[in-house]
Amino acid sequence: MAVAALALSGVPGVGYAELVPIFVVPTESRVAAPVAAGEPLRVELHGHDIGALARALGVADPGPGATHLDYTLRQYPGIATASERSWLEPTFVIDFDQPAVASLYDELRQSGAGPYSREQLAQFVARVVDEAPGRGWDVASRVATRRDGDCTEHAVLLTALARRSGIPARVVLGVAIVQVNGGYATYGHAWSELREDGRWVVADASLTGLEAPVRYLPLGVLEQEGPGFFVSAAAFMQRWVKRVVVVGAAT
Amino acid sequence: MLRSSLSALFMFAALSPAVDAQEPAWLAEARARESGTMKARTIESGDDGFRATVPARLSGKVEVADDSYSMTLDIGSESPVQCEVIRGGFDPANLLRAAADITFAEVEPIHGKIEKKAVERIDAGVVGHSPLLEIDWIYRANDGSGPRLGAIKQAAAQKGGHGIYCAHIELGYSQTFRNVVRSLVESLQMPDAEGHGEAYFFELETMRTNDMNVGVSMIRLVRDEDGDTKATTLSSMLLPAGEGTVQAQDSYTTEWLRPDGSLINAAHVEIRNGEIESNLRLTEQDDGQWWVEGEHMGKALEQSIAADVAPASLVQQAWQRRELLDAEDPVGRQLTGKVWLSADPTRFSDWHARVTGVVGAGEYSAQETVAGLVFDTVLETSTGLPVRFSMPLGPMTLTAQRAAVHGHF
Repeated sequence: MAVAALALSGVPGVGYAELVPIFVVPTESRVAAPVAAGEPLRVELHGHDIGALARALGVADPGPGATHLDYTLRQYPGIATASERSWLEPTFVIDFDQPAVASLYDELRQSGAGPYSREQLAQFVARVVDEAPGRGWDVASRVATRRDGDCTEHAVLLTALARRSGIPARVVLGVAIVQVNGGYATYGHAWSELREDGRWVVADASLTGLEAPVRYLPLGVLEQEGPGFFVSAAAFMQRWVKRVVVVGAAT
Repeated sequence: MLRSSLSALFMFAALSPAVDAQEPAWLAEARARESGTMKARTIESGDDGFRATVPARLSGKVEVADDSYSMTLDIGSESPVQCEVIRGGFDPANLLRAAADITFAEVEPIHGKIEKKAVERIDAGVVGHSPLLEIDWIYRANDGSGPRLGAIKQAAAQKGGHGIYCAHIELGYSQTFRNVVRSLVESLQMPDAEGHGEAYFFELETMRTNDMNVGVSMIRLVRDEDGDTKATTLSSMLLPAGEGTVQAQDSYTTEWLRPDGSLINAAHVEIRNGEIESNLRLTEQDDGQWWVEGEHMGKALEQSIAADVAPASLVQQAWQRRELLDAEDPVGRQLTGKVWLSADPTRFSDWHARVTGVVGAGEYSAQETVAGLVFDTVLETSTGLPVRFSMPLGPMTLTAQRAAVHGHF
C-alpha cells in the first residue's frame, strides 16, 4: 500500500470539520454567562428512559410522558449500589494482584510512602498513562503494561492503585459537563471514586491539569467487575443522558 | 451482529478540542473536483488469477505477489487510485485503520509533519453481496514552508473470501473514487473465489449510529458433508474516536450446529485496534458440562460454565422466534432462553423476546432482552431473524438494518 503520489492543496490557516466522537453528548446552553464554578447549576437531562435516569440519580421520577428531567447539580451526588462490598478486592478488571500493576505500584512508592491522597494517585496515573483516544476498555494490568488509554483506562488503573494502597475505590460512569468557550460541553466519561471520611469523592486522572471547570454527573457504578463487565455496564448505559440543556444558576 | 457489535461501543475518551467547521471557497472547490465520465476498462493479471472492469486506466501492469494483486489506476486526478486484492481476505476495519497509519507515516517525509488529521466521513454498506467499509481523512501537513491540506480516502470490501482495499490520496474525486471501488468489487472475478453457492443462507446488515453508517455484519450458513452447519457471523465496525483517531473492530463468531440446530461448539475472535481482544472457544465436555477457554481482554480464561441447559444457537434462536410468530395472534407472546455472549463469556445469559405489535406483512415488532440489554427489533416470520434492531446506548442509538439476504434455513 505504498504512496505512489500525493496531491496537496494549500492555503494555510483553514479549519475543517471532524466527525463528532460518539461519546459527545449534544449540549445546549441557555445561559448568557457561565455559572461560577462551585455554584449550583440547573440542567435539563434528556434521555432514552427518563424514569430510569431519575432512579439512577436518586430523584423523583417526573412520570410518564416527561421529555426530560430537571436536575440541579450541587455537591457531588452519591450513587447507591446494589451490592455491599469493601471495594478493596482484586477483580478481573481491577486486577491489582497482577505483576504489571504491582510493578507500577512499586514505582508509585518510589515517589514517597503512602498513604496517598487522591490527588497524588491521579497525578501519578496521569503521568504514567499517555492519552490515547479510542482504546475501548482495558483491564488494569493491561493499562499498567501498555501505559496508554482514554478515561476508562485512567479510571481503571487509578482504582487499582488505590485499592492496592488500601483505599476503597470504584469506577464510575457518567457524564462530565465542562465549561468551555463561554458555554458548556458534555462528554460521556469515566472516573474513579475513592472512599474518604465515609463518602465517595471524585479522583479523575484523565482530566488532571484541565483548567476548565468540570461538573461530574455519575450515572452508574461499575459493580460487575468480572469478565462480562462490558455487558452490565452497557445495560445501565441504556438509561443514559442523550442531550443536556444548561438552564442556568439554581436560585 | 447484535452480540458482536456491543463491545465496540464502549468507547469513552478524554476531552477533545472542538474543531473549526468553517470551510473556505477554495477548499469547497477542491473537494468538489471529479473526473469526467471514464470509460470502463477490463484489467487482468498475467496469471489469469484476477479480472475486473473499472472506470479507470490501469497504469503499468497488475502486480502479482504470492497473496495479492496490486494495481495503480489513473482516474484523471493528480494522484492515482491504488488498489490491492488480497487472497484469503483481511480484517476490514483493522486494515483500514492500520493502512491509514502507514499512509500518514509515508506522507510525512514527503510533505512535512502532519500537524493535524481528522476523520471526515465513515460509511458502510454493501455492493451486491459484498460488505464495504469506507473512511475519509483530511490532514494538514507542514514542511516548513507553510501548512497545506491533503486528504485520504480508503475503502475495504470482502468478496468471495478475498479482501479488496483501495485508497486515493488527494482532495476531491470522492464520487470518482467510489465508482472505481464499487466497479472493482462488483466485477471482480477470481477463479478461486468462494461463491455464495456453498452457503444455504446468507445475510448482510449495515450498522448505524444516529446518522452515520459505521459497520457491516454478515451471517453465512454452510452445511458440511455430515449434515452439520457452520454458522459464521462476521462484523466490522469503525467509530470516530476524536483527535484524528478511529476505533476499529472486527469480530468472527463461528458456531458448529447439529442438524437439529443444537450447538456442538462455538468460537469467537475479536480484533480491536490491531490487537486480539478475545479469542475464545466454547465446547461441551463428555459429561455435558460446557467449557470456555482462550483469551479475553488480554487474560487467559479457562473454566466450566454452570448451566442446566445448553445455550440456544443462532439457528435455534431464529427457529424459536418463528414458532413464536407462527401463532394466529402472536402479539403479546413471549419466549425465554439462554445464549452464550462472547462479551460475557463465563456464563450463559438470559434471553427474552416479547412480540409487541404488527409492522407489516410477515413482520412483527418485538422487544428482546439479552443479559439486561434491551433491543427493539422487527422480526421476520419467514426467517425468525431481526430485519432491523435498535438499542439506545450512551448518547446515541445503534441500529442495524438488513441490506441483503439469500437462501433460507
